[in-house]
Amino acid sequence: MFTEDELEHLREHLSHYPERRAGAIYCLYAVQDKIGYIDDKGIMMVTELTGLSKTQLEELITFFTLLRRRPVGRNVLRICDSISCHVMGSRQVLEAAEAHTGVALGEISRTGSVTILPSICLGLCNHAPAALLNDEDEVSRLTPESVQKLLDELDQQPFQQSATGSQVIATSGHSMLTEGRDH
Amino acid sequence: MGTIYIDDKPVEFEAGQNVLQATLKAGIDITYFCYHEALGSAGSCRLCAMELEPTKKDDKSRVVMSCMQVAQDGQRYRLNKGSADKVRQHVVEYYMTRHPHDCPVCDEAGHCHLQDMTILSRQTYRRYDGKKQTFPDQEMGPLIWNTANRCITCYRCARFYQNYALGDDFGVYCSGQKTTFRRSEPGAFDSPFSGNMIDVCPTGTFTDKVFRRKYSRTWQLEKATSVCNHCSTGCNTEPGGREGTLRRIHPMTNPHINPHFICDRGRYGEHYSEASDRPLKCIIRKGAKNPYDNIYTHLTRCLKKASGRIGILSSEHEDLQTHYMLKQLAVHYKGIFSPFILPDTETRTRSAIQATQLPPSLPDIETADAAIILGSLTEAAPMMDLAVRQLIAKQKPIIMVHAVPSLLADLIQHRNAGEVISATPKNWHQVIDHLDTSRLSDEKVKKIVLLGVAGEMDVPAINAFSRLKEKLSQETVTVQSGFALEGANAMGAAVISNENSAHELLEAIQKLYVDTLIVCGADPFGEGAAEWEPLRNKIRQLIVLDNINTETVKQADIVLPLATWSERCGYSVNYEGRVQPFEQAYQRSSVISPTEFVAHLTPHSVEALYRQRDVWLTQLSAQLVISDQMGIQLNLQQLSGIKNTYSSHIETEGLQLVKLPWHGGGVRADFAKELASCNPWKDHYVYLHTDTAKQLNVTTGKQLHFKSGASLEVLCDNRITKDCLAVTPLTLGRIKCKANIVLPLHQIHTGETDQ
Repeated sequence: MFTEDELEHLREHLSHYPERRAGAIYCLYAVQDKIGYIDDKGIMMVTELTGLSKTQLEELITFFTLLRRRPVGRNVLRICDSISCHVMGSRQVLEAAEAHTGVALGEISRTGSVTILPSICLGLCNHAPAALLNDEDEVSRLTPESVQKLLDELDQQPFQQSATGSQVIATSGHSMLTEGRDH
Repeated sequence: MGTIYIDDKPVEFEAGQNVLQATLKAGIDITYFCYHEALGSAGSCRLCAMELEPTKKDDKSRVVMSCMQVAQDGQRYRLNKGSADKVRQHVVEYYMTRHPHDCPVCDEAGHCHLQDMTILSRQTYRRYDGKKQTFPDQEMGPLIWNTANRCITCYRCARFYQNYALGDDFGVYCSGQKTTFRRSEPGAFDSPFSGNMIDVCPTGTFTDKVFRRKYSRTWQLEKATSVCNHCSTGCNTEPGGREGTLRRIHPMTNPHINPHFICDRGRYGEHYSEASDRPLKCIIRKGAKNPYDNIYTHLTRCLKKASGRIGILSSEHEDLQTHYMLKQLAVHYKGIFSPFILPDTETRTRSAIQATQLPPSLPDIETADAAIILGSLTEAAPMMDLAVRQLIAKQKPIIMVHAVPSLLADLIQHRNAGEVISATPKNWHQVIDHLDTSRLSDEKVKKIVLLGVAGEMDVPAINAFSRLKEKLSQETVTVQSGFALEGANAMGAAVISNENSAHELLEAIQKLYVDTLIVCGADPFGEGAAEWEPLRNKIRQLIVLDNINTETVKQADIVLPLATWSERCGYSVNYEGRVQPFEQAYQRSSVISPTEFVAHLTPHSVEALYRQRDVWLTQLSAQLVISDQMGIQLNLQQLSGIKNTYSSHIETEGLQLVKLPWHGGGVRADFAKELASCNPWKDHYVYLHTDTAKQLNVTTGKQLHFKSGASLEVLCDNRITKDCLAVTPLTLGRIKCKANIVLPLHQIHTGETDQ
């Protein structure tokens, strides 16, 4: 999964903490950035790196919504369902999005273009109902119509070989393998 | 230490106690969830809220969680008189919005903490009519049943399993309303203490799957205080029976031994009494019986004829009262009595008892500063292992020597908690003599516990154990040493028997001085086949009392159904020398106790035998052991009878045959089918390290032939120490070999070399 160079970087990173396990999330992000999600093999690898058990890592992953155990589509759209967005109609937006993709929330749409996830408050209450595309771009004042339009656009985006999950939806582990070393 | 006031009632507390502990100790009813005596307070359930009265005039009273509040002299709390009463009621109401109203069909109902707390807070009607969160149940193996919807997220199970028992295959998943407690994958738990989740869980989320199959409401069970007979720790249990059958085992608190928990072997192993092949009828296979005689008239006639030629064999798994009664029978018929099946077991037990000094109780082990463990402790005495786990949790130094895979060794290695040495038992005396104890020579180390597993150690290793104890003992350091012995009452067997009793009995049979053998709760032709099988044709009459269908029962001429420990009363002596009485929990009509057996065959009545026993016990322990006490500890140094002079020749060249134990296994526990189905080892195989396999020129799947004519298939497993052949106890009987013997290489061969 990782090259020797990347593994060396992870080991070096872990050595900065008083306990190796403190760097578990960093390692999990690295796995997620590499292949788009965290698979069983990735968990075994992080187990070896951090000394945490499989259960402890699963506990961690299920606790944090930004870590995922299943593959996602080329794009991830997190639609907020917390109180402000709920009041402003996020439920209808989620239902419309679900109807448009034809699959349940959390599943990859049939075209493979998107995975829609409900999200806790994104801090975008002034733009409610809001969503976050690929953990970077905010989408504001959604309506059932606008979300369908957005999904259509995502569907029509040309399929790029390079635009796999790991590059497009890089999260906080985003550029760790390159920039992380300078810190 | 001081006084606090709960609703104006003075309550005494001790230093360090929190308000909840003091309140509960004073017998005041208060609702609580996350607090548990062994696991401490978490402050998360908000159910033990009390109102703290202000000390200054202008201050306001405030609601506090009593489990997080250290008791301080003079503090005044309002429990039912203040606003906290409403707080607790609302908290319970909130919990019940998550909990199904399924008490009528829930196994926990009747002994359910949530039920009690809900009623105690007077929250009897529901206002919430919304949908409830639901969760899929997880399959958790043959011992525990999961009903995930009943969980109210008190975290007790995870705190017990992860923080106390140091297990890592069960945890908390997700967060908020979706929080759920489960294993990382479906299946049985890895921990030997998983059954405690049933007791720790305050709801019916985890229930006893074995009990479920033959369920009874707990108030309908017949219960009594009993002692676990599956290892030498002697934990107190409370068997519950109904209609003459055992339904469940529940731990009984004994602050000196098991304050809260018991292991899975103790909880589920006792269900051997419900095995479908248990002998429950008197069977006469040989010898004509007058149709008008009852079995005892027949037996009395047989024994009178054979008087002077009778051997009586019991085992270290039977209790002291049984041994005493059988000894009386031996006196009456001029027979020879031995409570040990094999001389080796007797030798090891006597040597181990001699080497025992200031034996540590389980709470002693938990509070030690360092531990040295010799042998696979988890498998020999799981509860001792649980006590050692508390040392691992506190990061105390530990050194462990072992030969076969042990969960404790894996845990120490995984947690980096100490040194684990893998060595063949025949070399242990050298390993112990050269043990590097520098990691224990810290100033803070004031108490070291030394724990040995008698079943795996030979006499030189036990002697080395004594030398190690001398070496570690200093003015500032107390060393407490004890052994996990080979049977629940091995200590009692050594106390009651003459030296070399097993050897004497075997010799008498060999020389034809004895031709009638009475066996009570022992399996000489299965467990002890190595020494007993060649003598089988010298025994003309074999009378067997047992509660499991052993090889000996199958060969017996007369079989009598023996009551289990839950089905009779008696006394047991644990590894510390603590004499503990146990009572009959429920009555099974078809079985007999050893006392009744002896009373039928001698002129003494049961009452007279009990009186004699009391006199003997009083002489032994200087006071009578009565049932409402926590047991009386024998002074081992004063018991002059326990010494070992017998020694057997020990080979050193070759491969050592070792028993492959597991934490749920045992002579009796193997007959409890639910527990036995979790056994990780296969019978009729021999487990080898890859290097040993290379030395023998075999690989996995090949056959290995033994001198006795038996052959076993090889399985390579690198967790087995080199130079060891590891087999399960049942396989050991099948290949007619004793445990721990060293086989010269020419006695083991692969079929191919012959061709």
